[in-house]
Amino acid sequence: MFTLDVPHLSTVLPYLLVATIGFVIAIAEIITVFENDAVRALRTGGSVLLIFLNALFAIALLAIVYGVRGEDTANNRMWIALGVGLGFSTLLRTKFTFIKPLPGSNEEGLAVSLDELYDRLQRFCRRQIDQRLATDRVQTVDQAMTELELPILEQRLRLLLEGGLILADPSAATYVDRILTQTSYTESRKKMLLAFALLNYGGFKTLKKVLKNNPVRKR
Amino acid sequence: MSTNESTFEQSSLGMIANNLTDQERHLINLIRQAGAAAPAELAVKTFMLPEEADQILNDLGQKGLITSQSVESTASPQLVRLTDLGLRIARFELMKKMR
Repeated sequence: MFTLDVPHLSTVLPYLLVATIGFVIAIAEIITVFENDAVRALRTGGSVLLIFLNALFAIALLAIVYGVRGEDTANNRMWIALGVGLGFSTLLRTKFTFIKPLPGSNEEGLAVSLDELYDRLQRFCRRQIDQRLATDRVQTVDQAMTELELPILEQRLRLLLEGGLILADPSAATYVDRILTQTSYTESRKKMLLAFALLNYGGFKTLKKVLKNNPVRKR
Repeated sequence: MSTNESTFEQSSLGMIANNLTDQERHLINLIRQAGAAAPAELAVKTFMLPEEADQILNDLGQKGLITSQSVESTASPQLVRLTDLGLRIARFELMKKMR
């Protein structure tokens, strides 16, 4: 039968705590940027990388602190973990200025910009997330072009733009007609534009729902 | 960055930003919000036809503010995103609006 190994649990718990703090802070950072598409954004590789690295760095720092303090940490491991978890996330987003020359000097002083390094990591992850989300949108439009008939897309988009379901620009009312009356456009191009418009004004879920509720057109 | 460099950078960004048309500014802002987007997607966001948006995107590309990358798709084989300069301009415009 499974028994709880308490000594091991007390060793693991502090690491779990710092990892959770890093995890939650990274998730909060992602959600605040991708409010409208938070769940899909969190599922991308860029998000996973940012969350994983935040948790990993926090665990590594805690291991260093325990290593340096040795036996001293035996009685207050959880408090140290809490301090490292909260302190680490603050340190990572901070610029340390060790030497700041007097005003008028041409020298820049000595500073360690952890915030700049973290900013670069965030930018890299953001690019990965943006790329993934944009590719998903484009591929959903690909699917709509293949599986949906033009009248279905037209009907849904008119309902959205002309039916007052969303607050849109005055030119929204005539936009569907502008696309459909372009004689130089192929049916496929018209479908692409209507699908992009439906995706943009109705959201990702709306286009997915239209795809789900309409029978797949056999080619 | 020293104060002199910062002032120089701000005035350089200001010069580039002042030469942008309203439509270019609008598209830069949309690309900043989306991170990356298909040109056709940007066209429908602004209720323009793709060829109208393409002209503006070409101009932004020539100014070095956007770049494009390939993606596997029949709907749109390319995505556009802001370059570092484009991002700085977008931030500059945002700060200007907030002031």
